[in-house]
Amino acid sequence: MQEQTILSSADVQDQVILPLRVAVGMCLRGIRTRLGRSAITLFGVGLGIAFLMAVLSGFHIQRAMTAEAAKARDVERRLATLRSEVGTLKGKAFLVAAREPGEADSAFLRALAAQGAAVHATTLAQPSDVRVSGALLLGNYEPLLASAPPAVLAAQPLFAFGKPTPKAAERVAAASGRLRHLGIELRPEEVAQAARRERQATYRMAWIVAVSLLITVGCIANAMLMSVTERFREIGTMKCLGALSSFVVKLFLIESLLMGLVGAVLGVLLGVAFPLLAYGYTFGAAKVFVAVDFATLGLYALLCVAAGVVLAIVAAIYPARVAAKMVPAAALASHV
Amino acid sequence: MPEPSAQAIHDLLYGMDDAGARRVVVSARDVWKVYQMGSVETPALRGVSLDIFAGEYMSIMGPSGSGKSTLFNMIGGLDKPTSGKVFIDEVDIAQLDAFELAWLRCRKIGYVFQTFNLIPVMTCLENVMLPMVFAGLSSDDARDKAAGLLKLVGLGERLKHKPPQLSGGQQQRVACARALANDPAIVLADEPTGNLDLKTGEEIIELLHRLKAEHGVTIITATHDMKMLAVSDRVVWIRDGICDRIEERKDLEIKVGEIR
Repeated sequence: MQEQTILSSADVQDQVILPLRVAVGMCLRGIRTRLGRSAITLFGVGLGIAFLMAVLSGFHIQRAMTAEAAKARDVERRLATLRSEVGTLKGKAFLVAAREPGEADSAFLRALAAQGAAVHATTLAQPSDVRVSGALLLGNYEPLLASAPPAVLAAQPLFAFGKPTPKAAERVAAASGRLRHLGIELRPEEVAQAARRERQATYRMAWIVAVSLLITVGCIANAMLMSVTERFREIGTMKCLGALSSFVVKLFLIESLLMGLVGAVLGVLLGVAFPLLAYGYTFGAAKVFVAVDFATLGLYALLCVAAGVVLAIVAAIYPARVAAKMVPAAALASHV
Repeated sequence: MPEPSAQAIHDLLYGMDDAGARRVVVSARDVWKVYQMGSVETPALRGVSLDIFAGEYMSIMGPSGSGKSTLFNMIGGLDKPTSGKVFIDEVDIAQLDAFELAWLRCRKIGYVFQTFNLIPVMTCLENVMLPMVFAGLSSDDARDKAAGLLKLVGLGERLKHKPPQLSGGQQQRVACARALANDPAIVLADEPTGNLDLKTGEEIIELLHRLKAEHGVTIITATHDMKMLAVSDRVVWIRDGICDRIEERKDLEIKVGEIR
């Protein structure tokens, strides 16, 4: 034992650890010169992410379009209800009390103004010289039936338009004696059914997103695995020339990070453009652009890029580590 | 069983008289390598012991499947023996950690392979610079030295070419230049002429011989190319995983003469 320690105490030193700069430079040069092969890897990563992004943004756009159409229908219905009670809306004035108003409520008020009717918020002192044609309760209106200013509740006719949650619908139905007219046309069981349908659609979407995520993982893992395993010999050579295993792993991780980033960004652009174009072509670009919430799309884009980078690194880390740990003789002997 | 010292074995093999004059640079002691293939154990080396001296041209000869490539890998620190020891410059390479082993491969050993194993995306200059980069040399110094080495092997005009643009012989010259990058004590060449035609093979042998003669590099080749015999100082014949016999240059010339 002692003899061995004497022998290994000869002038062997530790190999230098190269700075990250060297690895990055080597990586970039590798990607540039291997442009064709890099493009194929990028294509694999990009395709996976594009698919995921297309599914996510497609769902979002579809939902937004459906919501937009439902909103327009709702506004039309409310206007029709008003007309049936007070006749033409031009020149009429309404008192408004709102609690947690939604987008449909503001769209309704805008439509009302466009029809030439005036609306007065109840927080202001009621102008005595205005002849009021009725009062509107908006949003989550059920508590308003008790808490709205007396002037509103006294006005005739009194309308309630708002969010038809099953509970509110039930309660309002019970208190409907106090209302001249109810803005909800859905019965409680219909409201419950709509909620159930909504829930089912969410499950379906979650399932499809999960499947597309799996496909994405497959795409990216395959692309990265191939790009590392086909260079086992190169890894073996580098180790013969004195590269540390950690340097080899670093080299491939940086490469896969860059590939994942660029591929994911391209994939996101492709994935968001496709459903936007498709829906824009079907429903008209203006409608789509009004309906779509770009903040949500941006969030999806960020998520997809992050997923692309993480997946690319995870998919490369395994073969790179395997290759780096191999004895050089085995890495050199591998033929892929 | 007490292990005989390197000196004792050396004296036994080569006699006392020149033992002091020559320094052992690589030493294999009872090296075994057993490959596990499923449940079958295939021994590739069955107890090989040999010494290689500084500054000599040593060829490891044997038919394919004899275990010479395996022995070559053990000597070069590219693979670990199942049992037995390999010493390079008196250092037991089994005792080295990953950092020290990388340092050893980088500074002490230069490798030349049958399939050249140049990095295809790098230019000749960058390929030769690579070991120097790993050794931590500044890129300006590395560039100058690499250009000098490429000139030495006769490729001073091809610095910016990529390996696929070169002939096999030229690629092997680049590999030789790369092997010399960090002034190694040993150059290990595994079938350096195996993928080359007769003439370019001779050129590579000539180049290796010149490197040995002019730069004092120890050259170890694994080969079954008989042309190597002419330049080898000693030849180790490997058969069925054991060291069949070791022949000196002077014995070889007689034998080659007899065959002719």
